[in-house]
Amino acid sequence: MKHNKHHLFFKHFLTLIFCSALCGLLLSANVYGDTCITCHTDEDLLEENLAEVEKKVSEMQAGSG
Amino acid sequence: MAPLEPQEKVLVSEDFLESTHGELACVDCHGGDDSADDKEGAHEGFDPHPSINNPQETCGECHEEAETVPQSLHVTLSTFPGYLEKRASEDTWERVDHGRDRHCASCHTSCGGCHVSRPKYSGKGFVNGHIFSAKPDPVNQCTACHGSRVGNEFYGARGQGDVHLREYNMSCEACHSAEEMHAAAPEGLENRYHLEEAANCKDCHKDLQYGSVRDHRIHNNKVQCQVCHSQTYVNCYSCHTGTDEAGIAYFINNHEFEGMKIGFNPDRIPNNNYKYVILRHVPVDHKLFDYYIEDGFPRFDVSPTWKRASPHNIQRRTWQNANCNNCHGQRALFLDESDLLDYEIKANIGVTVADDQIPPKRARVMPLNIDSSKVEESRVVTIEWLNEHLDDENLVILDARKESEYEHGHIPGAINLDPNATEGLRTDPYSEMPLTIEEDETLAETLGEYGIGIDDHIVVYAKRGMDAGFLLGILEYAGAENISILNGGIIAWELADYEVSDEEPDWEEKTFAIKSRKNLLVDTEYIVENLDNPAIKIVDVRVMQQSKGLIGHGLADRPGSIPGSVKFPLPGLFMDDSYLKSPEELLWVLRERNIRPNQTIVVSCNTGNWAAAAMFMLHYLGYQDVKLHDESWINWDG
Repeated sequence: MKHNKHHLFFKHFLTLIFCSALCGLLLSANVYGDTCITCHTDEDLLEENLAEVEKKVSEMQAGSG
Repeated sequence: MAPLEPQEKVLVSEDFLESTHGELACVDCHGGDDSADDKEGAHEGFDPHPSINNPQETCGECHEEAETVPQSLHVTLSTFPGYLEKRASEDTWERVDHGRDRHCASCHTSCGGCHVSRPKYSGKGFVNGHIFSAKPDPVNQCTACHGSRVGNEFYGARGQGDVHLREYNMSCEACHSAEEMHAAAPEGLENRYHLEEAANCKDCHKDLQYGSVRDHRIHNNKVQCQVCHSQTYVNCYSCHTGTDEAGIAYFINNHEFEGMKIGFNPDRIPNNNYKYVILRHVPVDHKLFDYYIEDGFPRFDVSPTWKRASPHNIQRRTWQNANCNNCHGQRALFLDESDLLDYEIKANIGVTVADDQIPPKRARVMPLNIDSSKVEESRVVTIEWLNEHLDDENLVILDARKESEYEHGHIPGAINLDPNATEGLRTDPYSEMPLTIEEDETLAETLGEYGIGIDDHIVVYAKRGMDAGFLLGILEYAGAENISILNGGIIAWELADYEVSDEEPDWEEKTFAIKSRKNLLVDTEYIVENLDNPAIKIVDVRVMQQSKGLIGHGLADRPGSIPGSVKFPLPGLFMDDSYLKSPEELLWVLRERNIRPNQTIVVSCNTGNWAAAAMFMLHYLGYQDVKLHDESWINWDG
């Protein structure tokens, strides 16, 4: 009986470890994708954070290349 | 192509995340730090252009083409320096090449610029939320760079566009295969025609010499396909480079001329061994890099300045193939020494066609039976006529260009009336019925303010004939009958060295006794009711990007066109620089497109602007029943 109790505790312990590791992996995978995607799929956020970089074109330039 | 907002350029769509490329982590291709929690940190070591900077380890991980693409012409432009180096000497090449690198080396692309983003040269930014496309987008990618010549020709911003698009909806990649685009250019490749994988008309149009067309049998392998099948195209002259006061490199390349010249093939190679080819003047000038080194091209004459060209404005039937003698014996169609600038005569000896080398006229040809008897010749005046009549009483000259262009110099006595910017001609763009011709009272008041009387002889010019035509269309509606366009416009006037003034003339306001010709206008309801009426021909005169629904107009709800409308872009009636083709040629071209004088012709565009110019030209050519769909596409859809 004592042996079974220990066995059950050990089994639950292992399951807990496994689930924690799995959650950690899933969470890190989520973060892995989200840092870039969070901003780059949010048009309003991008609009707030981006400014037009003016392409320097000389006023002298004329005609097509 | 409308520019993208900064956020649009880098906005990733949800659909991308579901795509194959979306399965990859961003950092796999772009680097950066995906564990950082701020913008700067996340972009540390970030590469916005992995296909330029690291193609083998990004695209190349899955796509074997990435092996050869870095040596392809789109990436290296390798044939371009070769032409310059030929003309330079050992002493000058280093400085010339430096100039080339500063001014001419930005036009290249890589995998990303053809498959996911707009190319760097045309402002970058995702075409479709970072979604990759195996076929490049012809508007946002191919012609974003190849626009001024290829794009304008193909879509009908110069000439009436290309039959491959109009009739068969073919796009660039239909002829220019992935094999061609991805091919590594061998070292020392002379030009793009030498590339083994280069597109060739005969890849599709095979064995023409055995077909039913007699002229194919006669001309096979002697005459390049485009000699018979292209329309007029642009030639560029006299490009110059320099650096402005702020240290920014620039080029000036604004001497362009629409025309067509046939010459001897300067580059006869197997599979392109034609005797006669279409020649285009390239922008090279003997002083191109004088900013960097004077006389940088001591061997300027080693290569012609008129190069073999492949205009992308193909038509099955063209004016020069309409009849043998439209080409045979036509001195003006073949490159002559008189077409050359002083310093380029020697360079082009091999391509110019002497009088006795022009194919002789044929004794008997099929007549074209063009009836030009109804052409209203008074609707076109020449620069010579105008110069002699500048002081005529009741002559009003209108300059339809922008005010800034007018101020720079105009024909003496001309009044500036830019129809695109003047209030009182058309309704407000945000009104209930935007950009339609104003009510009589407003229109008459506006015209009168500019010193125009209904009985005056009104001559209109611009830089582009289409702008002059637009104003003439409005005047015509208002009831003015004595109206003319100046053939060649301001460019012809300046080239002839006639007087140019920068002084605004004094004029007195007049009463414009309007007699509006309401019968010239039709509304959208009329068109809807007559969509199936065979006696009514609806002609869409927009460029074909729009009439084919590839792009929309800013004021329209969606891209598209009126069902059943004939796609005939207005530049088929007006040349680039305000010159007009002969009435016989224009009548023939219209007949070929089944736009005939005995029909009711309804012209339509986006806002009525180009349609008004088309109405003026059709009336000039003798078409009696022409209607203007003034409401046009923006109101059709609205």
